Amino acid sequence: MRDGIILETQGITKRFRGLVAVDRFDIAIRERTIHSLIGPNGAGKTTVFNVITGIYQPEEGKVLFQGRVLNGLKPHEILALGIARTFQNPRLFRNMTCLENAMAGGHAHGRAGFWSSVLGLPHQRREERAIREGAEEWLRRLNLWHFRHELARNIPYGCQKLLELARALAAQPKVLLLDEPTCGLNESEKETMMAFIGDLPKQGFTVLLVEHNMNVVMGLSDLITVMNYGKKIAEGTPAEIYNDPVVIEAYLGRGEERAVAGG
Amino acid sequence: MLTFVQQLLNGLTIGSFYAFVALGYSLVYAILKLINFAHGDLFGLGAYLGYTVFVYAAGVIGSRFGLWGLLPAGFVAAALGTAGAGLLIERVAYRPIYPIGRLPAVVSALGMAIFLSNFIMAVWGPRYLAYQEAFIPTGFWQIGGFRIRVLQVLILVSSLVLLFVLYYVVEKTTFGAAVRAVALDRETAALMGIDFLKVIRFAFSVGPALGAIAGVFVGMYYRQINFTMGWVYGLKAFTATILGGIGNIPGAMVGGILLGILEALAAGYISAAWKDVFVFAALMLMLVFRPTGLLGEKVAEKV
Amino acid sequence: MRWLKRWDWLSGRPLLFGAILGFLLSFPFWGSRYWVDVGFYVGLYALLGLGLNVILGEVGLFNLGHAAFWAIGAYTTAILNVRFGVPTLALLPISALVAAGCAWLVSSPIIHLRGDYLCIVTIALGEIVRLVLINNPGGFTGGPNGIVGIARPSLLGHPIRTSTDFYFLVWAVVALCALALRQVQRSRIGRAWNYIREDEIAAEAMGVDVRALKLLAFVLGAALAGIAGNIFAAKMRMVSPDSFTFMESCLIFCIVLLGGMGSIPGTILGAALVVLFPEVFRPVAQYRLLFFGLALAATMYFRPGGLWPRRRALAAFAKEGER
Repeated sequence: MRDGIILETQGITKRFRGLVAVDRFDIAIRERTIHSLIGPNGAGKTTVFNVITGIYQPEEGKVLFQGRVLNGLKPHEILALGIARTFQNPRLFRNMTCLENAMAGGHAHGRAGFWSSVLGLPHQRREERAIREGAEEWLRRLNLWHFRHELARNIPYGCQKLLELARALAAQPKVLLLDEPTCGLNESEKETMMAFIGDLPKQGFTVLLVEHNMNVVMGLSDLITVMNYGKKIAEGTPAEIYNDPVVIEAYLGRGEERAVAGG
Repeated sequence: MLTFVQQLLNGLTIGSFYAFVALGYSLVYAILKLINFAHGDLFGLGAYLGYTVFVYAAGVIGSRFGLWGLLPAGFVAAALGTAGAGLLIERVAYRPIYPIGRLPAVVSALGMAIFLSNFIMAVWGPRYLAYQEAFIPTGFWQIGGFRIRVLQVLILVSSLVLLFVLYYVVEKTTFGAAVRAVALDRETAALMGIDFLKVIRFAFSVGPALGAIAGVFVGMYYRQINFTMGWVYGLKAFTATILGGIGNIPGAMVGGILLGILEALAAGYISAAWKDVFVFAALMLMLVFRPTGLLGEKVAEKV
Repeated sequence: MRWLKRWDWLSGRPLLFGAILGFLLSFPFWGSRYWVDVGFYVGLYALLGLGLNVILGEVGLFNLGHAAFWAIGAYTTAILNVRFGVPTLALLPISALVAAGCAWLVSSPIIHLRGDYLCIVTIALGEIVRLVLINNPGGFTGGPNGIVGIARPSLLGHPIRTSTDFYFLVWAVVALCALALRQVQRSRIGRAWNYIREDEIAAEAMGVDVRALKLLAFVLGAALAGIAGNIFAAKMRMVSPDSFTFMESCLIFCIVLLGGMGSIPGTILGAALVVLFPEVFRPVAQYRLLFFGLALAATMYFRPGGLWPRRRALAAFAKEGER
């Protein structure tokens, strides 16, 4: 691991039937920072997420996490190493309670097998309690406590996005990949979400954020990477990106639209 | 060589039956993403309706117009009756349930399959019924060492014609485009002003009608029908649907013919008793290596 | 008919369970032999249903070939007992193991298939097993007539012989399995099964080893079917391929959905309905399956979640009370 870089990709390429979704893409994420990945629709941001989390295997390039190559690992193995994610549209376990959803985070850290569960052995009970308490902790901190026995499909959309975050955090990840966490939220929900995400580095988490809302990105990010057509076109602090002509050209379109997109 | 050609011909004939029935599964699956388990029994119902018309109309139509007058009457009556039954089942057992979820719909379909086969048993009895020679074209041509039956030619020609018509309707006409649009994305198709119910009615009338025609042919070919025939042929035809790629019309035809040939060759060269094991094992192998069927496209799941 | 949809089946839960238990325990002492036999079959199908409930109800894997594993259990018992003289009751765990082993072998290459594709492969599997039994390879399965002359099991020198004996045997096994499965439901394994059913990709992203857990469910479900096969063979004292048709697989499938996916009491209720329905309609024997088909469709319309669905929120509250 160099210079506190916890997660990086080196020249990853992912194609779908000849269409290049991600093209020799590099990104390096520093520990305990919020790193944003922005770009127009279809730029390949979600595909980068899917490559990092092992849902897709890249055709070329490497994904490194704490100096370890992730290529070839399955999604569940990658989560166990310490990378958790949320989805653009919440993918909750809809017919299960919010508590059960949040408890999914603890699954990977459990060891109890089939027989110890059948017999209810002491170590299995201890482990269950730990999984449960971990989940409850995050439900409380995200103000979802009163929903804990509701089915996930019955709670409001904004709360579903929070619940997905709680589920990911309950997995005690080192790096958190958030795919458009404020998309579809109203103003007050957006603010709650922003405040919460902004606080994560202090608690020891590293965040990779995909987001369309420029307020959120500019307000939260330590570093921003801009991608278009699967390639990295710029990288820098919010101030640098805000004034980068290449970004304005490729991402924001013509200059006049900047005020709209930025404001 | 002679055996091979003879077996190939048998395989083509049986394959046409499977192709006919497979189309019904495929049409409904394309539109509703539902395995219509009752479809096999609609095929059985068609065979029984054809039988009944032949028996009762033999005196009226048969005596005046002969066998070639009787045959169309039987086929049309069986196809119409079975199409009606298909529409009725859709209205009563599927339309109220498929918005609820796929699993309840599957159970409802299984329920309808059980209902239909027992309905047939209650009406026509549990014993085998024989298609009498009076209803069947019995001529044949002797070419070299093997014989071609008129019936086989009739089956092959009519299957080619009907399947081509269906292919034309679905692939080349405006209505066919609507059917394909619904198959791709029901909600978007509805937003584009496509009448979903019309497409459903098409699937649930044409599929059973084709099944009924196959049912009558099976009765003529094997000369006997039984209320369990729906399960047996339904399962095979369904296998054919999967072989060709479910929800895909040329696929259902190719799958049906292929399955028939595979089965006939396995029966001729390996063992008649093991032919079905062979067929199902082939199905399993294909699903493991090419899960979307021979003509099906590979679909990547969107994450 | 709206009240049917909303009817709360579960007010007075402990009372209901107590009444059911009392009924089941006392039934053989006042019911006629015929009805005790019917009660045995309810237990047998409950066992089959519980096995499929793990696969279909908990994990959401469409398995329409469950009768294959039942057949493997029954034939394992029959062959090892009649040919090699192994005591029937000792074969109970062995039948479970053989069925589980076969399930592991055949499901490993197909477990990645989704939804309807898996459903079709399991149908094919069920047919292959039945046809192999009919074709009598190596003279082992006795062909279409099956195998006769299976010895009665005996428990600690006490022969299991009468209808009542078998009734208690099967229901004891059902009770044990139900308790064990309830434990699993409330563990990380059971939750992970449900995560897979709800959203496979999200489950995988949350660290669930989807493949391993699906295989576990298949193997476990098959093991229960193997046990059912052993008890069935012991009771009938013969096995034949006719008992393990596609229709049986369908019935077991319907048991799980009638009762409610992932609901243990629901599955037992579903088994009772499927077995009792033809008995109640015996006076109109010819039409009873006809009505059964209609009843299946009607149930799915009025109660799509099953007759006794698993109560999520309630289960969570109960757990809280235990702490």
